[in-house]
Amino acid sequence: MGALYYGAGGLTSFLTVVGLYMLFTGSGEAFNVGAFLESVSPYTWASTGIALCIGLSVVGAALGIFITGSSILGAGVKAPRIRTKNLISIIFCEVVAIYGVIMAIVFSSKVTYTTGDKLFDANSYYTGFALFWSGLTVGGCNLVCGIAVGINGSGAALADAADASLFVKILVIEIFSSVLGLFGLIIGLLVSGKAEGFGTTAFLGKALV
Amino acid sequence: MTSRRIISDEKTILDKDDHLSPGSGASQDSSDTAPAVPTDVIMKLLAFTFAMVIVPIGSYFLTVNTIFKGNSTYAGGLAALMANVVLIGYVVVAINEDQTEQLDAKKKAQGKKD
Repeated sequence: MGALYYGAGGLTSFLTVVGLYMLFTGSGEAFNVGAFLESVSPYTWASTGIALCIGLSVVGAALGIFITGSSILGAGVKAPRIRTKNLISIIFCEVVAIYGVIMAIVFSSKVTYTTGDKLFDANSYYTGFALFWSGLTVGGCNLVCGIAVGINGSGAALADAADASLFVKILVIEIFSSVLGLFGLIIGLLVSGKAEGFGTTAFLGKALV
Repeated sequence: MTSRRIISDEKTILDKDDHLSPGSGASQDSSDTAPAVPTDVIMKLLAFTFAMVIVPIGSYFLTVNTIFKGNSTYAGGLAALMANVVLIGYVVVAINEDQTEQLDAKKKAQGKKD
């Protein structure tokens, strides 16, 4: 842990010294956030958004299934009657991964091939940024939602093993936490919904009419 | 006396493993070798797992170019809805199965009393 602190501190002070040197010797224009954002290809933003969407969703679902599954096995040894009913929790976790897959498919349908000037027009920039941020929204929501559903499902399995009447009560709470992922999915659909595919001349078409 | 060998009357774990005690013979013969989870439960789980993967994605690709005419937002919303339909279907099936199991257990208990 100490090595991490020293490493981070050394890196930060090194970058600060280099940055101040460049700033005071007349090359401060190297720190141009706008130029960086414009020079990165919109395809990079779109692909990173798709990767974050599906990747974070699957990580969330996997963590949830991991926690729930180990609890169901442990409780099932003591009380074998909990079997089909508690797999509901596993299916709840799986839905989170399915949300990520659906959104990745929707996003990737907007990544169409184009080249030259059309790759760097306003439409392509909008599509790239919209896909990146909606992918991050969906991925982050599904990551937290998967963990929430998983911990709830773990509690449901343990409570069901102790007292069968508790299961339905905890299932209601589990439904609430599974709705969290749906919120991210709706906003991701809304943000990416206005984005046209790369190379479609939506703005040019309006200007001609 | 420090070098006296320890002579134990008790059998070691390895010895116990080899010979069955006389009383346990009957229970060994009638051991339950049926799988712990019935086949229909496993088939139900498999069917719902495949449905969970195929139904939302299938409904997206079926409707995106036919019903929604290329609007992938509505098709994605429909796919999310179908995923929830499968989920609710599983919840209903699982709770029904649990109730029928409890009824069967009650009938068996009453049958034994009579």
